[in-house]
Amino acid sequence: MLDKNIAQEVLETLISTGGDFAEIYEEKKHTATYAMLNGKVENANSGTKYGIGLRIYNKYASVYAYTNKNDRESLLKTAKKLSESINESAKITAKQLDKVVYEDKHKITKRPSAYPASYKIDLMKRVNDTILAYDPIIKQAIVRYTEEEQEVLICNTNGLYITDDRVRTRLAMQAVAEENGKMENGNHAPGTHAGLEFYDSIDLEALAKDTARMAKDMFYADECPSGVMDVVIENGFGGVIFHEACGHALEATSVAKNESVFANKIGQKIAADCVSAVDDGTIPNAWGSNNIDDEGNFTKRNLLIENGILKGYLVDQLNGRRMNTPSSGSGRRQGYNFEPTSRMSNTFILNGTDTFEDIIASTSFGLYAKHLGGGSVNPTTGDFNFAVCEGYLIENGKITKPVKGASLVGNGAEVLFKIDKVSNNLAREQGICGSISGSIPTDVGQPTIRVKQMSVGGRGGKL
Amino acid sequence: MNFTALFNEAKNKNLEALEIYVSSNVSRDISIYEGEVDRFSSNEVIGYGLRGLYNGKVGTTFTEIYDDSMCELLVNQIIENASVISSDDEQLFYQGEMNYPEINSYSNELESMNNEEIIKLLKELEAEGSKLDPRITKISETSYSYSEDNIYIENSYGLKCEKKSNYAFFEINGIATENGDTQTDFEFKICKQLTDINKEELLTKLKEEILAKLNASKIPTGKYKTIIRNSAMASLLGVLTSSFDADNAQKGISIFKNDLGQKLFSEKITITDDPLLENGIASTPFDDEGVPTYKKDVVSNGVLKTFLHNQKTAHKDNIAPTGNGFKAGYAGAVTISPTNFYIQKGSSSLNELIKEMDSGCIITELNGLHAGFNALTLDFSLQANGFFVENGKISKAINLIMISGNLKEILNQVETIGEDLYFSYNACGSPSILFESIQITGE
Repeated sequence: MLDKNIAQEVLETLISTGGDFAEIYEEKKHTATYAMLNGKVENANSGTKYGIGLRIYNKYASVYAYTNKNDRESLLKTAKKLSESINESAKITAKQLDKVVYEDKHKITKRPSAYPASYKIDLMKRVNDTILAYDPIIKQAIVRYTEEEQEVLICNTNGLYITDDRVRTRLAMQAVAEENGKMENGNHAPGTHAGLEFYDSIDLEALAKDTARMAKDMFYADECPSGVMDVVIENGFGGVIFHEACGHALEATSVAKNESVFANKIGQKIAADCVSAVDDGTIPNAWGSNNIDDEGNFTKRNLLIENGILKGYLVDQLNGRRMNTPSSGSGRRQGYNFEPTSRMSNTFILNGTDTFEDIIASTSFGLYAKHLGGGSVNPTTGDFNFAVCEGYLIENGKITKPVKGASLVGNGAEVLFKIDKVSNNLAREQGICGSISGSIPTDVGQPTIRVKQMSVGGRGGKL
Repeated sequence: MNFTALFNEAKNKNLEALEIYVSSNVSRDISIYEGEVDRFSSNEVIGYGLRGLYNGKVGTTFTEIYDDSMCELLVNQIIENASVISSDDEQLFYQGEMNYPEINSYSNELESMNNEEIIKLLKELEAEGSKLDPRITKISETSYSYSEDNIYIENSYGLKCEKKSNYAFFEINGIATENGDTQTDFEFKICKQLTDINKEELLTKLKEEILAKLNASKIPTGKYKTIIRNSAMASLLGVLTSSFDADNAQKGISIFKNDLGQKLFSEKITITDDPLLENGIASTPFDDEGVPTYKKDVVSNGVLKTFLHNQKTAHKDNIAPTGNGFKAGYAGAVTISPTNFYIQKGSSSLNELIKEMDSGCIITELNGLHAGFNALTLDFSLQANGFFVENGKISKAINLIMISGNLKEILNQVETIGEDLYFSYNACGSPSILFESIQITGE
């Protein structure tokens, strides 16, 4: 990675025109991807991305430049050109860079790049074979493996010089059920901030089977009716509701400029008493964890909501200036070609006291959303939506029949008050979150919850 | 650019073919907040995507740093990746004519616009935007992005081609509040030349759109006659494109896989892929395999005329490639995408459609298309906003409703097609369309 002396020189150039803080982000990322369709490897791709992002703050404003060229001369040239966009006299001096040494929380035992492609293809084959063997209605198995080894160096004019080595792997599986020209699918995509040892610790065949089961069950499911009803949202990926309905609106990206429904509400009640939630970027080997964020700050466990009361936001350094709040270790970016901003890591609702069985038994009519898809939100209005990949009707306290094609919409500020049951079976699942600083790995999570009176859209006609 | 050393290394290591794809990008982004430059960014990057044929299989690799010392490593990666391929698909390297259509996709004027001019324009947009109406409480961002792409492709069969394009993107975001109801809107303009920038047009649009959204209510759940307005219809067309992808059809994951020559939609629907469209955001003389592009109807009067092909899928179907072999970025494999892809317009204005509908809904905005649309079945259930129409006139705004249906089914229930063809930033275009009946979930 970048030599300390060159980094020092670049930082000095960056602040020479009046910037009050400057930062260098260097990234080298190895990626390998393999795609398999019905047992045949269709695509194998691997390579390396490399680049450097330079950033200067001038009070609340920032300027940014990125390049792939890392020789001293090119870097100084890029730094000089960037600094020229600020036209004041120098305000600060850059402190001497000092390397921060820390213990890596995320132990890796089987580094993916050290294993041959055939090792990973064997894993994919196991999933493929299990999916195709499940039932004759399953016509397609699509399996995709990805590994990433990202080395970052972050240095800034406060003298920080820190590195992180992030290893991630993920196995996405999809099953397609098909008969008489009609199709339906099921999917799972477990991932980790760890190496190939992850696949020794999970039951791949069980997940593959469940993927095929989902496709088959949904194939025979009726269309979900539409209307306003109670919705029981399963643990794990169900947490995407909190991610969309609340998480994005707690990011400084929208809070700092008072553009969030939750701006200026610290200490106020924004959710039902049974709701407590955190964003925790420190969990060892969790998909959304890092040792440090992409501004070089150590990640934290940030309490967001406690018993319905808003306790904190997710803050990056620059927006933190406007909010007069220190960074919460939440400055993240996809890579060097993105300027960082506040983002989620592993975000989830904490365990409550209800049980799954009691929640179902106490629901006279509603939708049981067992497996959710993605969603989106407008953080200013709080309006959100997400899709239900696998759903069931609840009638008289019992799960009765499978339904497909449902979507849920609501408003973040309203829906948090409509959560009336929180069970004790917290689980997290992996997702990719897209926002202005790119696509990043995040965990969503929750125990099973019930939301009263949500709008459910489906093709099965009016209730 | 000279890749002699790379091609020599490939030959020495017994690669049967090699192709290098070089993408250089220059970009600039500026945003204004409260009268000051809030973000400024100026960037220059280059990426190299390589694919090679080894024992009849294709392996790919990529890098962002390239010099002759890396040739061995890159070729070894191609060999390693090719060695695990077990698919029998034949991948091809273009060996045909290099007669490419003329496309005017680069504007020197856009390139030479200086930062001061842009900042002045953005500040004026913000200042005038804040004065549009007392209910518009804030202009949350005005921004400009400029991007210039240079693509160079060379392969071991003698292909050498290069293209250059640029565009600028202006955007304004506003927040309006009335009676405790907050609404947002953003308006943008993609400019292929300087004369495309029209400040007044952007501001007028922002004012109209954002104020119309205020004081929205819900309507009872039920089936309604519905107009899906041009921009929302363009986003729906965007998620339909994967069904016209020949690779998906051959793999059995396109619902239209057995429908070539069959009637899919109402005869009122014609869908065109036009890479030669003047000022089109996706206009291009050749695809990412160096195959010349041309204009074609994919659906003509409701009938599926062709899938979109790259060289591999065309070879499999024993037809000529359609010039739709594109990559998501230099690093990815060649997949299939449309270029400027649009539903042909009809002759009714939006007002005429509204009068014709008499009573029903207008959908102006759809959210969550990445999740609420099932690309396998074309079923959708989507968060929507729009207006309610009574007696041939807009009577109120409606918000947080859902529209549900199947895209193939509703495209068979087309009443009338509008004349207001509009292209979104995904290069998909559509006029507004009046449908017989769509399921709406309200209250």
